[in-house]
Amino acid sequence: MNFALTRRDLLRRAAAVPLAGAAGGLRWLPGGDDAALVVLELEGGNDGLNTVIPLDDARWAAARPQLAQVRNGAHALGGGFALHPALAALARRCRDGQAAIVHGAGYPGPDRSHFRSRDIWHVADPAHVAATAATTGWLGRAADWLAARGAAVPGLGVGSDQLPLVLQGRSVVVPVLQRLQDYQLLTDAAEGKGALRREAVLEVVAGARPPAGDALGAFLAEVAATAVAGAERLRERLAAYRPRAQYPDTELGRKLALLARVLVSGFGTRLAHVTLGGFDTHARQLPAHDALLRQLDGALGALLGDLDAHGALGRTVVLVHSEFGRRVAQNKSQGTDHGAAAPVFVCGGGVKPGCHGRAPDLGDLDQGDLRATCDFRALYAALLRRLRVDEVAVLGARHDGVDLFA
Amino acid sequence: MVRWLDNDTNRKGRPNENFARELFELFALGRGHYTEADVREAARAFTGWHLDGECFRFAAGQHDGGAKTVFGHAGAFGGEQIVALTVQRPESARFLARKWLAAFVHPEPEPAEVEALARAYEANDRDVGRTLAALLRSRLFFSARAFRSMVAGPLDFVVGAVRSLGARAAPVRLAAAAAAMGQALGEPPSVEGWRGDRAWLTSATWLLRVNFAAELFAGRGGYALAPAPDALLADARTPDERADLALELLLDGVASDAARRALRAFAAGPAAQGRSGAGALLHAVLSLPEAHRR
Repeated sequence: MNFALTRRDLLRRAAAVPLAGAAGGLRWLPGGDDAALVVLELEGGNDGLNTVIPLDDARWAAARPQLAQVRNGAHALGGGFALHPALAALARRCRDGQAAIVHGAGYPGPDRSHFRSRDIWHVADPAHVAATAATTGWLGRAADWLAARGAAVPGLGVGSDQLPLVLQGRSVVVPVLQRLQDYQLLTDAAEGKGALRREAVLEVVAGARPPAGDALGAFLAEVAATAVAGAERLRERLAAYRPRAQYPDTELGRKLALLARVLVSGFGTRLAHVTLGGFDTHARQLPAHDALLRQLDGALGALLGDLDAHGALGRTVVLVHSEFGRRVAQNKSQGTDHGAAAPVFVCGGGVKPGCHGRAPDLGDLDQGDLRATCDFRALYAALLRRLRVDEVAVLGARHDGVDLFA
Repeated sequence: MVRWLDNDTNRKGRPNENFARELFELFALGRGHYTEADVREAARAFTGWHLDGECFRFAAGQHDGGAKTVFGHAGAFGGEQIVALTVQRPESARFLARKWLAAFVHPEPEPAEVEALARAYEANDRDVGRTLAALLRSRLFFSARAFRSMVAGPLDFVVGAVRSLGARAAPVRLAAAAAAMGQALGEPPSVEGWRGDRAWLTSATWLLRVNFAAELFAGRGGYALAPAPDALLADARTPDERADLALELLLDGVASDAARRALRAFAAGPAAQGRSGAGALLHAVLSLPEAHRR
């Protein structure tokens, strides 16, 4: 990174990306397009078998006699599968051709630790062991690739207060947005000198460059530069957006409402990461899982509807995944323990609807868990191709086998 | 820990492995230093470790008193004995030493430093307090390699801003500010704890920190800083002296040449004049990269 910034550079950086506006169509990448990817991560290990239900497989109900109650009111998808009763909006999107399911996503040698499996998905390396300061995530590397081609703020985290590993890049510092009203540089407005102070603080941020070779100092200066540039952009861009969907007043509803605002406003975001926690349903799973999927369905349904109404759904893809699925057999606490492969959802523009790939065989388990039929890196590769980001630069190699887009 | 790791449902005949697994993986050994069989057997030893409201309760009727084999040792172990066996593993000393070094000294400790601290811990009869006291008085702790080698956490930042000035402010407000920046006291985001270091700082939390500084030094937001910025900087006369004093107070006078130049320019400018000028100057110091290190 070049740290020889002046305040004018900071402000120019804030203005570097052309405005999409109502016309859509950001076209600053040579031969590229303005497709955006939202990765929605269900933290804790979502029970895939009670999310996309293999309704016709007697072994499913036999392995989880209490949990199989969810078949009542499930939304049939055809092909012997149905969605959990709480997923009404997603089921509608599946039928309308705006959502797809990929069966059996996972990786070889599945790890049952939340933290390690989450990191494996984040880093996109099944052999990943422990994160260091140099470890990067796949969305962070994709943000690096886009930034090297002129994108100003290609990546964005929403709703968390720490940078998730998945957004850790080599050179780009990805901003994380919690609440819009906090994402601005406050000054002592009471004195009537607010603008003056803001300008002066910007001068200090631009001027206080760390000495060469100071890696941590360089990181801190880059965070500050990203923050002030982003805050300036938000001030300019976000005023015009009005939501065209009713977002539920839930944690995920608030996060996705904020995300929609950013995606629609031409902030330049191409890669976003957002989480919903609580899926570690070891005990008394039925009511807890129902509430979580209801929250997911309400918020995701609103996001898809809002983007659609703003004409932005066609260029947006949403991936919904978890760090692993859960054990096929229910445990003795009416819950499920950590498992392995699970289905993922892919919603939005250009997706070929329906179920993709082969569902794992309930008669061929690995220590009680489903065997993956789709390497998640092939899924990532398909999404990167959709974004026209070099998959080899991000994943280190080609990963074929998933063909999601028409 | 009992609640968070579901040990309340860990009963004889219905073991729940969560507590035993995370004791090994996250808190005492690290991955690769135990087997799945160790987890299963240790989980049985923790059966009956339950809760009664907010208090620990040993439910003897739910405890599995049978024989277990953990780390090659066999016996009718209870939870305390598993903890003792775990911390006696040689990997445990290294695992803890690495964590302490990464928390207090340098984010990437050298193997020799880890080894030395692990040995000191064992020589101190695995007394954590005595070991940390030795670490925090060591030459390593005061070395150039350790100096400001990490990103300050939210509590370091908000408490440091007040204490380095020798001032006082409402602790409840400071705790709320730190919580907004990602560190709610006693409430880590997951059982793994906070990632710490660079993960503390995003563009959003940077803005929250600098905005906190604006409010703290403007006397808004209920922080009630005493003494006020004017009084703190009253001894300095020229803009350069004021900038240097602000750096001295908040950053022990250690800042890059570029940072000092930028701050002196700020002190000479219109934003640093008048009634709110001293607060503005302190606000600007906390926007420097140096202010976010420890």
